[in-house]
Parts: sequence; structure tokens; C-alpha cells
Amino acid sequence: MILFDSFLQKPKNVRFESQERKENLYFLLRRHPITNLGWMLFSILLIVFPLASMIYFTNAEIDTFKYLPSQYQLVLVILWYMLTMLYTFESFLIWYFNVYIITNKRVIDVDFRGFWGKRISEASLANIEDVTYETSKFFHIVFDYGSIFVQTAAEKTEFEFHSIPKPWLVHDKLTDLVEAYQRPRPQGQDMLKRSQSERYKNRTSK
Amino acid sequence: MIENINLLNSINLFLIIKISLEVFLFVYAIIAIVVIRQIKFMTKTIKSDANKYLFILAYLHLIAVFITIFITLTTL
Repeated sequence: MILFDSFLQKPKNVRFESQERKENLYFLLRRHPITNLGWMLFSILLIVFPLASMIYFTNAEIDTFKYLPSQYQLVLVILWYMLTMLYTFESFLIWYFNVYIITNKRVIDVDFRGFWGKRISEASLANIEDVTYETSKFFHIVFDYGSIFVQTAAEKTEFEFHSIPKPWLVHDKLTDLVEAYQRPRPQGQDMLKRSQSERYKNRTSK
Repeated sequence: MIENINLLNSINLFLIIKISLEVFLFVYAIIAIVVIRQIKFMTKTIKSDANKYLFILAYLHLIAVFITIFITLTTL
């Protein structure tokens, strides 16, 4: 299901805000779906709670209508389920919009904080110095997910891709991309210089 | 006399509950609109085919809020 994909390799129908014309998307990653288990279980608990309490009151022969009229009870139940829906939906959005993007030019970390805004960090592949991955917990091994740590020479010195699926594959591809990007060109120019001169040409032609 | 006072108290209590619910629902409606704004804001950052499902869910949520406001106003 497209809404629950956490590992997209070369996705075709996905673009991002600052994507350049010749920039290819290699990975779009989210936290592994198993990391959503906490809020999903809590949501199920919130859904079941009014039903369970209704069954309990009926079995215990407690007349709740004596304390609160039926229409108030109806509104309260609707409100409860609306708040449950808000909690579930917001938790899902936080998971869905927290993405890690790897292109043939850079890595981007989109950090969505729900009602408190977003933060986007990026580093060029030219600035990446070291890439490490880690699968340290029992769940990591069982469900094949882990974290990737990217050391950079940019302003933000470390990028952490938390709980992403198949970290070994991402690590492998990312190191290949970094190598290819940082390898000197046959003409003696590295990619960075080339892209800088291209940018200069574009600017002057405008 | 005492019965009348009790009746007055109960009316005031339910009126307070009703007003509180209305205020809460009004704030909630604003939050539901903020959620839609959030999705608009984030779908500009990441453009995907799946984004339309998020909009459908967010608008259904907002409609549910308005229906609840309507129920509260008419039944309480």
C-alpha cells in the first residue's frame, strides 16, 4: 500500500521541493512501520475503551443515564472518537512526513514536528566523509531495520537516519554514490568544480 | 423552594457543560483546519501520489467536527 511504504527505491511518482532538473532520487526512506506499533496500540486502546466501559456498566447494572442525559453521553462519545482520530492521524502524519531522501547529489533529512513546524537539513555528497550503519537491537534484527550515521564536513556534522528498513542496502548504495561523486573526473576536474561552473554559466546566461 | 433551587442548579450545570463543549469544539475545528494547512504545507515539500488520500482523510475529519458541532447545537 502506497501510504505505508517506508522503503522507496528510485520512486517514479515522487518529487521533493528543491529537486533540481538532473537530480535523481535514489531512496525515499521512512522509519520502519514496526516503529508505529506504540501509537497504533494506544489508538486501539482509545477505540476500545468507551465500548469496554459501556459493556462494564451494562453488566454491573449501573444506570449511567441517571447521572448524565443520553444526548450528552452521545456527544461525549463522539468527542472521544474525534480526539482519538486526531491523535491517530497526527501520529501517522509525523511518521509519513519524516523522510530521509538520498539523491545522486545530496542527502536530505526532512524533520516534520507536527504542530511545531518542520526542519530540513541537507548535505552534498561531496561533503560526506563517513557512512556507518547499525543494527543493535533485537527488533532491528528480526524486522531488518536499523540506523545510518552520515558524518559530513558541512554545517550539520552528522545525519542520523533512524530505524530505516534495509540499512545494509542503503549504506551500500550511499557509499557507492559518494565514491562516484567524489571520484576525480578524467579531465582533472572534480564534480564539485564542474557543478559550480555550470551554475555560474546558468547564472550568466540568465 | 429547595426543589426549585436544585432545578436551577442543574440547568446551570448543563448550560455550563454545553457552553464548554461548544468552545472546545470551536477550538477543535481550528485544529482540524490547521491539520489541513499542515498537509498542504508538507505536500509541497514531498510531492507524491499518496498525498490525495491524506487530504481526503483531513477533510473527512473537518466534516466530522462540523457534524458534531451541529449535533451539539441541535440536541443539547
